[in-house]
Amino acid sequence: MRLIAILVINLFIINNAEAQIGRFVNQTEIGLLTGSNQYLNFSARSFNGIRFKGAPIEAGIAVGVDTYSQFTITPVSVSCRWNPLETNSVSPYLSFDMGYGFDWLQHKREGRSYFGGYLLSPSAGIRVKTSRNAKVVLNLSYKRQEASVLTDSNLPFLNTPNFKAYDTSEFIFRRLYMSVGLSF
Amino acid sequence: MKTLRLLLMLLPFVILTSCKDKIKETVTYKTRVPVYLSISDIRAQSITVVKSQPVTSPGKIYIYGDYLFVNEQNKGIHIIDNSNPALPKLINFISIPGNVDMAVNDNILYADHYIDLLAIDISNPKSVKVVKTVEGVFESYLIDKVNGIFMTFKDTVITTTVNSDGFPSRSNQMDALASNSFASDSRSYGTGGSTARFTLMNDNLYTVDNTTLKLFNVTSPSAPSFVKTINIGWGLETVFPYKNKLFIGSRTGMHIYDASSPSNPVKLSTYNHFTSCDPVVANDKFAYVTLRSGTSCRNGINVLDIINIEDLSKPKLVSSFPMLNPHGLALFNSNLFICEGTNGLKSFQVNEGSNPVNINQLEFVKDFDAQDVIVGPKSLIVTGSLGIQQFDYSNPAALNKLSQINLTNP
Repeated sequence: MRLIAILVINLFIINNAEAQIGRFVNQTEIGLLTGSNQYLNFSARSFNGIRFKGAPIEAGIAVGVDTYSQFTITPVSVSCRWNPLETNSVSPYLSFDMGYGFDWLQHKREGRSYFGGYLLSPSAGIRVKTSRNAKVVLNLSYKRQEASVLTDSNLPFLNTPNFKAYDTSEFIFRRLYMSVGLSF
Repeated sequence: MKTLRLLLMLLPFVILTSCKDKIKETVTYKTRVPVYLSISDIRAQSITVVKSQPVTSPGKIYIYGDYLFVNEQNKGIHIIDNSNPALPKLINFISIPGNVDMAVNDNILYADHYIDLLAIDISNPKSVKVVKTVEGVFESYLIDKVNGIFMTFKDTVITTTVNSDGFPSRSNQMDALASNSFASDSRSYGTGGSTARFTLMNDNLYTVDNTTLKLFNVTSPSAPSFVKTINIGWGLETVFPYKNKLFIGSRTGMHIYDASSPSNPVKLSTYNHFTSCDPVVANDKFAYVTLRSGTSCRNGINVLDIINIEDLSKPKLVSSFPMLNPHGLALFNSNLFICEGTNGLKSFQVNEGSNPVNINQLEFVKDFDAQDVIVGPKSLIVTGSLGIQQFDYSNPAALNKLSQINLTNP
């Protein structure tokens, strides 16, 4: 619900800004999060922003879903892209996302508290023009996402009244994100 | 150009080595760590009365006149003026390191002090005096007699941090936690009444530890003397006296001893059951045993067993009733009170005349932690993780809460 609200507000702001300062840009990707010694995890990201008039810069908000093995995170970030050769048939870009990953889509288990955390993600990629209006995107990012889980284990065999055992797992997910998508 | 090519070749390695999750797992738990103490140092410390202390970790409870004695596990005994159960007053605290259980006989308090038994004159609760020490009788500690030291355990909060770059190795930590269970287990929270390990009968003090029954002659209350140790078997938990009989609850069954010759109890029988935790209470005809499941009680079941003990040499199960998680229990005339752990406290009417014996639930005070219960002259005293609660039981079908002594976190 919160995710939908953010998307709606985001589009509303961007649509209003569009007419005066530039044009609307969307880039939506799906891909895999990987790293050494890790499983492959599914991830998706949608960027909605403005390409400014007279500058090779796009700015907006990116919202996504990262399904790490231990945690499903909903990252919401401010995203800035540099795409100097936009008119070419193959145009490279660099981008930088900074934001916060929320626990909204995490399945909540009793006795556990979930906390999201900060997100940093630099990316590089290319957009390839197709015959239609849309461009195919090949993207490579580095993602650094913080998150933590507090497990309140009321272990019966410890047999100590007024005291519970606590287990805090603090994660720093550091992954390579490879994705494909569409941009228009 | 060459440098650029080299950099490009190295790039995948750089990316892959830096793309590793970092996981920091912090586990905080309370456990008991071994501590070595010198026997002479312990005996040199005087047993003193200090001003009342907050109740943090209550153990056994004992009623003596208008006073309530509450053990603070391994630290000493709270003295509570309970002349008005609606307004119990903590009056002072007897500091006895290593104390777990107690009994009172003619103004003499018997208390364990690590490996020794103390007889303490409490006729003036504000100025108690140790009148006798029976040395080295409790063997539940690891004693090195040559060097005069013994090992005990101390409550400690431990925080461990494990850093990894993969998945957390939770199983290792659970093993570490489990290995401490034995230590905590021998000093369980279950308290007083039906879960007592000290009891007085016919001028004798009977104590049980994990495997033995010990006898002390207390004909002269201020001068207890050690009589003997009787080996009974593994997993002893409680001792309940009734009319020259001793009912000893263990994890595998209930042992019945005839103590009509007080200094020489004779085994009459053993009633075996599933390995389970089992406080016992009894009257002329029947013994009431609760069996519960729980990690420290192994593969238990949750029931109340009623056992016919008219022929003490052949105890016979007559009825069994399912319970939620029964802990301590108390019998008062035809009323039976059973602590159901975190589920609350149940009050039953027992009909021993019917065949088989039937119980009728009168009330279920829900949703508070009840570990053990004692029927006092003025109130029903229930201990649990919330503290010490007292109920008016004049109408067992409508238990009325009178007061609560809250616990303070240390």
